[in-house]
This record gives sequence, structure tokens and C-alpha cells, in this order.
Amino acid sequence: MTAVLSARRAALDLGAFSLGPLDLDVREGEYLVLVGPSGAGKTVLLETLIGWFRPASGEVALGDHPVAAVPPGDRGIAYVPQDLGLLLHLDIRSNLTWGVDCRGMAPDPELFATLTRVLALDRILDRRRPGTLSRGEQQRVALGRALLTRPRILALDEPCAALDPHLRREFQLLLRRLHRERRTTVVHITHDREEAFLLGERIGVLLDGRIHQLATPRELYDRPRDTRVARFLAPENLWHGRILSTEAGEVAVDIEKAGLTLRSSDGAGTASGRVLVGIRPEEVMLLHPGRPLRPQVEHNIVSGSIEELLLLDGRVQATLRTDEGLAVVTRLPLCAADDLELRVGKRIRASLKARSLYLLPTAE
Amino acid sequence: MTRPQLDAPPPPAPAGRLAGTTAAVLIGFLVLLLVALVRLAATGPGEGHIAFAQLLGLSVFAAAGATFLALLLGVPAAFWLARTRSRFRRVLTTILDVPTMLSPVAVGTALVLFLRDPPGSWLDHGVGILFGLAGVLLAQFTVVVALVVRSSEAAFAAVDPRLERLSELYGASRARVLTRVTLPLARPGLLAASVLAFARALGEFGATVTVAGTIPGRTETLATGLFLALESGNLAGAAQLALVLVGVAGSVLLVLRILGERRP
Repeated sequence: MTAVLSARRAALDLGAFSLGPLDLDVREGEYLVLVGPSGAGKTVLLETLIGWFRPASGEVALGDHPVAAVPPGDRGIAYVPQDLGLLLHLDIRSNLTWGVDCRGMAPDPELFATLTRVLALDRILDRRRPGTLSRGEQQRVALGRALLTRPRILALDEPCAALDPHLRREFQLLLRRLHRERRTTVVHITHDREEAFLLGERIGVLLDGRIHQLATPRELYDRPRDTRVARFLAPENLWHGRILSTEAGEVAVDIEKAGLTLRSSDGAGTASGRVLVGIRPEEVMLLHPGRPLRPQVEHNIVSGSIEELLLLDGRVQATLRTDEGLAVVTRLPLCAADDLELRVGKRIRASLKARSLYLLPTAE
Repeated sequence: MTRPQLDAPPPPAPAGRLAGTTAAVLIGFLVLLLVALVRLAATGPGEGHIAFAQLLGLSVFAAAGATFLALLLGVPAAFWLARTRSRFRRVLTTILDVPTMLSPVAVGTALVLFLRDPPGSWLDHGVGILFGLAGVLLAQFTVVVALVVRSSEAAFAAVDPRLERLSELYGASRARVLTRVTLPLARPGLLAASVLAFARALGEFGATVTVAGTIPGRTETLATGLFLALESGNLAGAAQLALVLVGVAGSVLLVLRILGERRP
């Protein structure tokens, strides 16, 4: 895989905020999502990558050249900023073709027809001003404008954030489909973790101006690299612990608050000492009293009673208070919750699957 | 992106009453001034002939010319000022503001002195500025150019530079960015600047009279003619001229309002 866009020890100091130093490779044809909370420096990072900010140290390279050395029009980058950058004095059609217009060219009629159809722009094409469009329509015009230029790299800043929740999912799926069809390299930044997992082939977690982890969604889900990443991705089910022993890849860890010993198959890099023990709520298995245990759930079994039940849309979030006093959050489909006849106060056993329990060294 | 208009919250009662009274007094004052003019103007044609059409024509021509010159030099300067990060920006804007703050007669005096010696005298010999129509234009230009620069600068500053950079990223040349993005977006502000400059030039008196005098048919404008009529005791004529000025300035300001409300 070749890097189309890369940052090497790139650092930027904007007074109150500093970015990096960070390394990043954007691979040809991939969908890369950078996720982080507000104020993490996502937009600054993206705009540094496209050459709008010059790093104070380190460098950003587009292929083999420093990005700043390539004239903006030759970078092959189409950027859709969060505020979209539509031209309010032009009509919709002119806005859509503005990207190719900038080169003094006419849009490819075939691509134009395809994009207006896929982005459902046919009906609004002859409207006069972008100000009269809904946010979703504006978003699609801005995306269409970018795609009409056949960019090598598409840079998206929070493209779904301003949309209504139901439209947001639709738009995310549209982005996913467009990428799968065209294999345009995409760098997408968002604060929405679910969006990152849905779209990213690789996800970078940006916290306080640094990329803490860059990995596939599955790696990120199973093994967050440090405590900050873990707290950002899944703040539930994180406990302080102490490693007791390591045997054949299995680690025994003592959860101090509860006086509970758990086993984990995450032996990587944590030989001894204090750790943060975590498990995703989806990985906590509530056990059906009448059924035999499958091998992957026969360890780390705790019992307690249901303290809180939240009905999410189609899913249930249950908090189990173990007999040792540990609060364990779990999420399961509504049908599974019905099957277990969950209700507040009900006694139940759960397995904190050893395979899913991750250990993170803490500062101490 | 349109936003719903919120009703402004009413000011608290005693302050609101005071503010309302002040507004009423102010408007009453201005109306009384206008009434005084109308009553005086209605006392009939005063002694002495006033060539209204000629004065109006010359005034409009000179003000339009001065505005054009001010735009020609002021708009590019404003564009540079709005985009530069030069340390001298503050110094330059301060210098530009000086003519606005000086008394117009002082500006006129400075112009006359400038035109007496080289390099100014070359200009005077070449074009014939002192006591000529070119003098009217130059005087009015000097008074309004800072106005043009200041309001155009604000207009350019209001254009989001990210839109320009975005267009560059799409491959637009500098010229295309300027003509297709920057200027159209700054257009309402630039129009307002020109209208304001025109109105100001039309009523300009001090600098004009100092540089160009009041020669009927050559340098006499509505504003200077008004002063002449007053000097010669033709009060009714002066009032009529004043009303013409009020009419022209009023309609120009009306245009300004309309342009200001029409957003792109």
C-alpha cells in the first residue's frame, strides 16, 4: 500500500492549541476516519494535511512532494469543510459545477448525471440559492461538487454532524457506498464514534492534538491501546486492577475495588503492576440459568442483581451490580433481554469473557 | 442560510420612555429644519438667476467622477488592506483616515499648497486643476477616498477567505477567485461604499471651494452655489438649492438602504 498523503513528525502551534507532533499515512484508496472529541484538533489536522496550515516542524507530503510545494489546484484534493463553503450568490447548478468550473472545464455529463441521481439532486438542481435548501440538501450539493472534480483525495470535515439523526445514517451509508464503488481515498473527521466504526477502514483516534491509536475498527474495539483511547471509545466498564500472575498467555488480575480476580487473555505488553481493566458492554454475556456454558464464557463469572434497565432503540442497556459491589454495564438486543426475563432486581450471572477483557498499563 | 428574525427585547420602561422621547425630539428637529427650508423656498423666486439644471448636472458629474476615481484607487487598496498581514497596516489606515477627520477647508488648503510646487504643480500645469472642473473632482476625491477604502475594506474582510482557498484547491486562478468569488461576495458592501462616497462628494463644500472656487458653469456646484446665493442675500434661492441637495442625497441614501437589505 502506498501512502498518498503522509505526515512526518508534523507539529503545529496555534497559541492556545497545539497539534502533534504526529505521524500519519493515508493509503491509496482507503477510507480513513479520524475520530476525536470536540477540541481535539481534528479540523486543524485535516487542514494541515491538505496544505492550508504549514506545520511549524516536521512535514506533510503529498506523494513525494511537500504538500505546500504543490500548487493548490494540482493537489487533486477536494475538501468539504464543516460549513460546506457553498457560494451563496450562485444558484444550485453553478454551485454543483463550481469545482470543475474553477479549472475552466465543463463537468463530465455522465458523471454529472450519475451523481445528481445518486445524491438525489435532480429536483433541487434548478433552485436559485443554496440558502433555500435544507441542511441535508446543502450537504449533498457540497459532496457532489467535490466528487464532480474526480479528486484523488476527498477530505470531509464532519459531513454528517449537522444532519437529523435519521438522515445521518442514510448519508453515512451513501458515503460508504460511494467509496466502495469509486475507491477514492477519503480522509473523514468526526466526533461520532459510531460513524467512525461504520465508515472507517482504518480509524485514527485523535486526542489533544495527537493520534493515540490508528487501527482497524476491530482492533480498536478489541484492544484500545491506552487508557485515554479506552475512556474515549467506551467509558463504561473500566476498573483499576493489579496483575497477580501471568501463565501461558493468561493473565490473572485482581480488581481492587471489588476484591475480585478475573482472567484475561490480553497478555500483550503488561507483564506486571497496575492496570486498567476494561470490557466493552457488548462483550459482557448475561447467562441463561438453564443453559450449559459454552467454553468462551466459562471464566470470569460474576453474579449479582440488575440495578438499572434502559431501553434503547431495539437494544437494552443493563447495569449489573455484582455481589462484590462492581457495576458492570452490558448491552444486548431487546429479544435477548426478553428471553432472559430481565427486570430491575432480578438475580443473574454474567461472564466477563476472558478473550474480551483488555488490560492497559496505567501511569503508576 | 436564513435565520428566523427574533423580535428585539423592549428596553426597560423608564429608559425606554427616555429613548423614545429623544428619538421624537430628534426627528422633530430635523422635520422643523426641512419645514423652514420649504417655507423659505416657497417665498418665490428670489432676486438673481439660479441655473438649477446646470448646477445639478455639474454636481452630479463631478461627484460621479470623484466617486469613480475613489473606487478605482480605493477598492484595490482596500482589498490589499483587508488581506495583508503587514505590520504597516495600522499606520496606513491611520494616514488614510486623516482627510476624513480634518476640516474640508484644511484639506483644500493642503491641496492648493501641494499644487503650487513640484510635483503637484506639474499636475496643475498638465491638467489645469486650480479653479477648474478637475479641481472640483480632485477636491471631492481627496475627501471621499478614505471613506471608500474604509467601507470596501470592511466588505472584503467580511468575505470568508476559506471560500477563496477552497476555490484555489479546486484549481481556480487568482483572477477567477477574485472575479467569481471575492468581488461578487463583497458586492453589496462595495455598492454601499460607492453610494456613500457619491452622497458625500455631492454635498462637499469646503475643499471644493478652496481648490476650485465657484465659477458659474465651470466649477460651481449645488453646494457652492448654495453658499453664493446665501452670500448675495438670495435666501429663497439658497433654500431651493438646499432642497435639491436634500432630494438627491435622500434618494441616494434610499438606494443605499435597499442595497444594504438585499443580501446575496
